[in-house]
Amino acid sequence: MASGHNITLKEVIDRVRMVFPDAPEVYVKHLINDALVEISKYDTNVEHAKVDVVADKMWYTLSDASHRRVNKVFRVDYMDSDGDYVKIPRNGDGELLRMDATSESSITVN
Amino acid sequence: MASSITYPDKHVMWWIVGDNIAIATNLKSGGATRSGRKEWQASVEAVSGGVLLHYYAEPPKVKDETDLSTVLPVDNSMHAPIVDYVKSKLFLDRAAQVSDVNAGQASLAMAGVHEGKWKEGIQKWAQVKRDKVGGLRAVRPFNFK
Repeated sequence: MASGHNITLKEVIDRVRMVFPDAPEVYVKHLINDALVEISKYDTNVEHAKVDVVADKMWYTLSDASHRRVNKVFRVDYMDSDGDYVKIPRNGDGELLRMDATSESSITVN
Repeated sequence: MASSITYPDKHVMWWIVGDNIAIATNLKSGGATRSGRKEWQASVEAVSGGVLLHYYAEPPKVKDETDLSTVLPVDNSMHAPIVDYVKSKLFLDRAAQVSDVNAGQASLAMAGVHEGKWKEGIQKWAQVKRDKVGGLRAVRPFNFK
């Protein structure tokens, strides 16, 4: 997000109310949320989150990492023996021979 | 606590299935490498904050009870387009509510104008490079000597 000039919710609502003086505040907020969802279709809002590695657990739910909705993971780092985060490769196949039982039970199948 | 893996780039990998991320390693406890069948399995160790994810996310939602002095969580080049988006929807609502046909047509036209500005804004915004490393760095002419 570019720094410098910021806009508050009040400023947005004030601008809208120049044309629609009776526009309900909550409704305008909902419309702003709709606009934010539209904006999120573009890969611009970069976030970072740390995840605890659990012994014998292979699968982690992405919503556990952050309360924000994850659109696309583009890089993953793993902590090495020095405590530094090192980039790890992505497995393009994703088809392993063995999935451990703990991991399977952590996946919700509806 | 640091991990016991010295070279995670060689021994750990990730992939995504749906809303789940898998972290697998080919190291056994004690640091020996597995090979062959069942090579990649879950980590045998627990590491607090062991994985660092970098991802694109939705901007945080504006809640009903959010304070009006809250700064909108978007790039400042999108301020005016967001106002246009809200106005276009409100003009559409007005067009659906008024009984006067002419007023309805005028509202529809204004909705179109603001929607056009919104689309123009979001398209320009998508094309702008915002990673702070773009642009001209140096011009190095040929040496004609």
